[in-house]
Amino acid sequence: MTATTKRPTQGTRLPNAFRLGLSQAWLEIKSFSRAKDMVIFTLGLPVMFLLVFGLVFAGTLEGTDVSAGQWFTPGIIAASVLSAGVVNLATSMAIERHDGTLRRLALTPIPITSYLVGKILMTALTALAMTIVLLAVGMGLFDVDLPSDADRWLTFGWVFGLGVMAAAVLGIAVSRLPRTARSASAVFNLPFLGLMFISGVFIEFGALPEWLRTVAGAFPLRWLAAGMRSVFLPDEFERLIEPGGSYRLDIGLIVLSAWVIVGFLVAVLTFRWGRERRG
Amino acid sequence: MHAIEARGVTRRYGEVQALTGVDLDVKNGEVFAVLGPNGAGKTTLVEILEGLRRRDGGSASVLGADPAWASREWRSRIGAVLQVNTQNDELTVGELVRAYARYYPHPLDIDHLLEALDLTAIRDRRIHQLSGGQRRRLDLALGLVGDPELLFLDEPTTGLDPEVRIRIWEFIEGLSEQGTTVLLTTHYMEEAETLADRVAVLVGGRIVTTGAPDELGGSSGVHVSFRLHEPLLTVPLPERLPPMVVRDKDHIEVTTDDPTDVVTRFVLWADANGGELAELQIHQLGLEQFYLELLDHLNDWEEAGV
Ligand SMILES: Nc1ncnc2c1ncn2[C@@H]1O[C@H](COP(=O)(O)OP(=O)(O)OP(=O)(O)O)[C@@H](O)[C@H]1O
Ligand SMILES: [Mg+2]
Repeated sequence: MTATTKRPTQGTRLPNAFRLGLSQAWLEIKSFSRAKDMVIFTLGLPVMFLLVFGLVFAGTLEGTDVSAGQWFTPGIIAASVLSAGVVNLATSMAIERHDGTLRRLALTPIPITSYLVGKILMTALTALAMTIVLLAVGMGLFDVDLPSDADRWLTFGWVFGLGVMAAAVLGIAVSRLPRTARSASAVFNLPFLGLMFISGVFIEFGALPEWLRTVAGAFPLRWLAAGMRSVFLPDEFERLIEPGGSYRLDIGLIVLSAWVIVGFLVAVLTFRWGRERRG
Repeated sequence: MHAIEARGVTRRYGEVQALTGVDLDVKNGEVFAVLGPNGAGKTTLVEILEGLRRRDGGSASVLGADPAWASREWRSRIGAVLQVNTQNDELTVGELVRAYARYYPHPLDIDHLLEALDLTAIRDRRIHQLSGGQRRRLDLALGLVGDPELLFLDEPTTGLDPEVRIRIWEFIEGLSEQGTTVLLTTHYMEEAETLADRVAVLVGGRIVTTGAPDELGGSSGVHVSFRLHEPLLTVPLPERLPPMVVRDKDHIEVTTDDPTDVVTRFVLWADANGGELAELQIHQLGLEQFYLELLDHLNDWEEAGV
């Protein structure tokens, strides 16, 4: 047996960081899709929420012809998008941080951005899959209607896109919290459930005390929920449920964009492959 | 300039002083082995040089750069096999090696690499299904796929069957012939003797000796042993023997640099006295003997408080 090498041709360029990010995402998708139990539970949890809330609160909301299932669908979509980052992405990064995967990668010339782009794309895909499943169930059981006008789809596009990226950078930030891989799920429940309760996912946002609304307004979920409601609920809801009678998506756009841009920069700048390696 | 130059590298973990001022020079194209007992600091030293752990003090230059502040370009020139196995359980062998190949500017041909490491037959197998030795070979493939100028191998063949170990040695020899510099740690003296141009012995976080394996091993000489029967038991031994003669009743052991001379004189002496040497054995004291004796001495010194 002989080694199969030629001496390196010096000066060959390093691979493009963004393209590497795409192939990282592809690896993530392959790994994820092969862990069947993970796929089923990841997609099944939001559906279970929708079924439970939609079936328990039968009938239509007071003064409207909107069913409970229809009302809950956009909120649960918003929460699912958040969980794709704050729970799924954060858990996978916490595990890789503790099982040596990140240390091994640290020895290769893979750029931090490629690794993170792969994770963020995977988060977007997870969130999209959850959204599609939720909409399918909502349309089948609860008379949820897909919007028919381009305006609403446009809103859906940017709310989903910015929301999922904001969820991902938040997930990257909290992924450093658990001190062992085993504690990951316990740790991540806190930011997720906490945000879910203060952001009016299940209840009218306007029913929350004002200071809590202010706190929630600084995080992505409140805007994700408002955006999704503006897409999937009839127009009159804006007046009925929102404080001030408006979703204020202009503010939502600013908050989500800020999360994405600042969050990504902070993630790249503070990222550590291992506890000891710099940069 | 050397591939690796370390001066006074120190590292402490809480109460444990893992490295106490290590100096190390590894020349370009050399295969250098670090030996030492469990907990000696080998992994700590190697991972500091890989840029994976920080050092508390001293300086290090690896391929001309400080590993603590290494660039992407620098990382594309090194390859490494860590002491612990790689994860990514749900991917297949082929997928993971291909993924790693993408990180590097001029990766090796994957089919050849898998073939050389005997991984072709299992390239479509998931990583969590691999045996320990198969995982180790996968780690080697991942360390090599970037076609590194400098390769770090932390106990590369631990847990491998003897046949595979020899194939891997041949593979590493092939790399070395093409100019790859290798820094390896091992607990197998045979591995160091086969592969290494020079070895260093690291004990308690400090390098106690460095040299070529046959220099270190050879310096302890050749071992000659045999038994005596009547009538030789009562006859005085020949004169002018080397100082290292140990007699235990009928058993004689001689350590010498000149075994021919020793054997000839004993054979002539036995002949002249009407007997013969029973169970005559001659063997070269290798690196292993040297290493074990060295550790023994160090223990003695330590007990004596030196
Ligand atoms: N992360 C760590 N935290 C605390 N102590 C550590 C850590 N890593 C190593 N040590 C300690 O430092 C010393 C050197 O460890 P190291 O892993 O470098 O030894 P080694 O020579 O590679 O051993 P082995 O042959 O068993 O692999 C040991 O006493 C070990 O317990
Ligand atoms: Mg070790």
